[in-house]
Amino acid sequence: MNRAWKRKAVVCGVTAVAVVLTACGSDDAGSTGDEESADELEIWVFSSSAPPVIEDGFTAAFPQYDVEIVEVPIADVTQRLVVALQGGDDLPDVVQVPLRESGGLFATGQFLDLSEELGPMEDDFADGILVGGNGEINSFTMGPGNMGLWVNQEALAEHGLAIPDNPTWDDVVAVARELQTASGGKQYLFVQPPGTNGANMFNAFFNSRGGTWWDEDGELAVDEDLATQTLEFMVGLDQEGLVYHGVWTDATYWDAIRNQEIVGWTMNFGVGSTSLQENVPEQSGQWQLVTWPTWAESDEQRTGVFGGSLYAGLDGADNPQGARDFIMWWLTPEGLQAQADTLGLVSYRRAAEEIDLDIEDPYFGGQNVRHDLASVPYPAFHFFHWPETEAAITAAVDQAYAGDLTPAEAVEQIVAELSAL
Amino acid sequence: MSATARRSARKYPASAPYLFIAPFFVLFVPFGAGSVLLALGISFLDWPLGQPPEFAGFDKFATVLDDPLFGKAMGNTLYMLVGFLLALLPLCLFVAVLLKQLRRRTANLVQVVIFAPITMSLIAVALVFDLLYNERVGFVNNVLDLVGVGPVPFLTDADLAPWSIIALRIWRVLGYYAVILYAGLQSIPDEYYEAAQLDGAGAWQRFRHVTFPLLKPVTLFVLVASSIAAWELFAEVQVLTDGGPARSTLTAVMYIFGASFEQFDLGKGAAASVLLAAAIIVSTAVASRLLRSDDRA
Repeated sequence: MNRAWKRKAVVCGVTAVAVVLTACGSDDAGSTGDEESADELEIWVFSSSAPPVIEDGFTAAFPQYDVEIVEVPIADVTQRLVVALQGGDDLPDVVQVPLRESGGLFATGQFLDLSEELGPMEDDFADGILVGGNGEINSFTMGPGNMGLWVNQEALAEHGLAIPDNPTWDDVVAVARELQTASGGKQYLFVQPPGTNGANMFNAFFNSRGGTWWDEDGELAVDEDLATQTLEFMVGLDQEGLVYHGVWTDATYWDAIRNQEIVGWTMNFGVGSTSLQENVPEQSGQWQLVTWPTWAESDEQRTGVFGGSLYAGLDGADNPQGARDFIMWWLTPEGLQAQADTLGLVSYRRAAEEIDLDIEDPYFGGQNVRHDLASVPYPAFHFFHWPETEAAITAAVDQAYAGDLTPAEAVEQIVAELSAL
Repeated sequence: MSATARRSARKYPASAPYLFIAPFFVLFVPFGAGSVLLALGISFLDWPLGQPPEFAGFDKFATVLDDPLFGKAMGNTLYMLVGFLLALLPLCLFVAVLLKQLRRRTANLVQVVIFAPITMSLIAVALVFDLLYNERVGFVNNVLDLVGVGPVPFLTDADLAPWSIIALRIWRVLGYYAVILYAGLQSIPDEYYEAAQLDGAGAWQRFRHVTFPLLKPVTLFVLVASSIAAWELFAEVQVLTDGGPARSTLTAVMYIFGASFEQFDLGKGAAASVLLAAAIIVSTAVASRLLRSDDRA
């Protein structure tokens, strides 16, 4: 190679390196752009009621953030999040996650640790409200799924029946039997939905007795006798014909409420109060909330968990400070009010000091159902391996109801499946 | 080379045919072949959520094959596939033969009617069937009630639920495949039937010795296309039973979805996808061979 060609080669090489460096530099330029767009905050939500309160409340409190709210259907949110995390691109700064899916997600270690912010406030929340993985606190549960017994007292009164004060489950079952006799087996005080909703219903009953499948470290921690007794109780109700089989997502369910076939069922605030008022407004004044009955007179009253949601920040996203500000905003007076307005129940114990939660609800004859539901202690519960756990419970509970397994065998089957994980 | 061919060769460049088929490959290479290769690649990776992937060899395949749920899902899928095909093929053939007996105008009208279900949204169809199957207010149970039967727990009984899914699928695709078979029937020359009739063949013999053998290529297409769709059963099950009761309708694709997007194990999901693809290829090869070997016999 002569000198001229060598010179050309060197020039070409230098030019190539310069082009590559410029290209890399464009990323730096991107980061300059990032600095410019550091105030952008992308939030994925599935609750349709959330965007207006975020737009009005949060953006007013933090005008430095250019908030983009992306509404994602609840069924798609985890799938989209998985794709975004695996792609490592287009991550939202904050995502709303169903509580039941939080255990698996937080165990991946891809979420912001809010221990510094939420740790000092631990006593202001019930045991199971702060959630996280790997020893971190990643978020707090909003609209916790405290269960209650919703009763059409007017329909019961037509038969001269009523749920006694501070009832045990035996008291409620006694009323259900009388109702069965009085109505010729056409009215029900209990509902058992099929599939995963049924499994979660069983889980709420189990949980209200202090039962859990996993401990806080993700180790299997099932009290099998307690689980068996709980399932025996529920299968027993079914065998006695005291249970309506259906689910609130079916249109027919609300017809059954409308025609007083269903006169009571165990449920959280979202479906128990909000959906009831939306779907059957004509029954205003007929319903009451009975706080979760105890299993024996001497027992401490405790509710069960049936869902909830939370906001979590993504570790690898562009605006971690914005994510922290957003999550913590929900605990300011404006944020607490937004929680109360959109979700009903507020999990922060000191909320009543900040906002007016003394809300009498005319639909329930003036009863303060939010206060009454929240007044029952909320249990610690850990949603580890929840898709597998829920699937195992669903299959076994289905078989127990079908009579293919005894409750003891069903619980044994669940534990065997969970042990293999 | 003939004069016409020479004229054509002058008019179009040699690359013309390739340009005509290029649009297909422009889409197929990244989205078809690319996705398949990507899934194959991911199946050899351990790829925890949000972290860099690591090569895992055949570990994910071993995990899937060791998982009794995968066996259950594949077993359920195969069970529903066999039930579906055993019911679908004779029904399609029956409807196609019936169509051939009709006058052309009537046949055209009937084709439009029976073809309609395949054009409907699968999710909408599943929701309608959910109402039809309802134990308390469902149309089917109301009809059964008139004759003193029921209520039948179509979707909540582990033995019945798979068949309720099969019935939905048959209702949806019966017209589509029957129309394809009907087109095949029309391509069989009438002279064959006339000759068979002159030889004294009855209706069954004409069907067995004329219709069925000459319809084999079309039947093979129907068999392969419908069985591939049956292996990929997902949406209607997700809506109607969510894999229950007692996992009696858990399908292979539901297992893959669960592994990927509920357990966040993309490697496991991809490995299960590769195994499902292998099952589809094997079953297609078996179906082709059965019909072809019969031909030679």
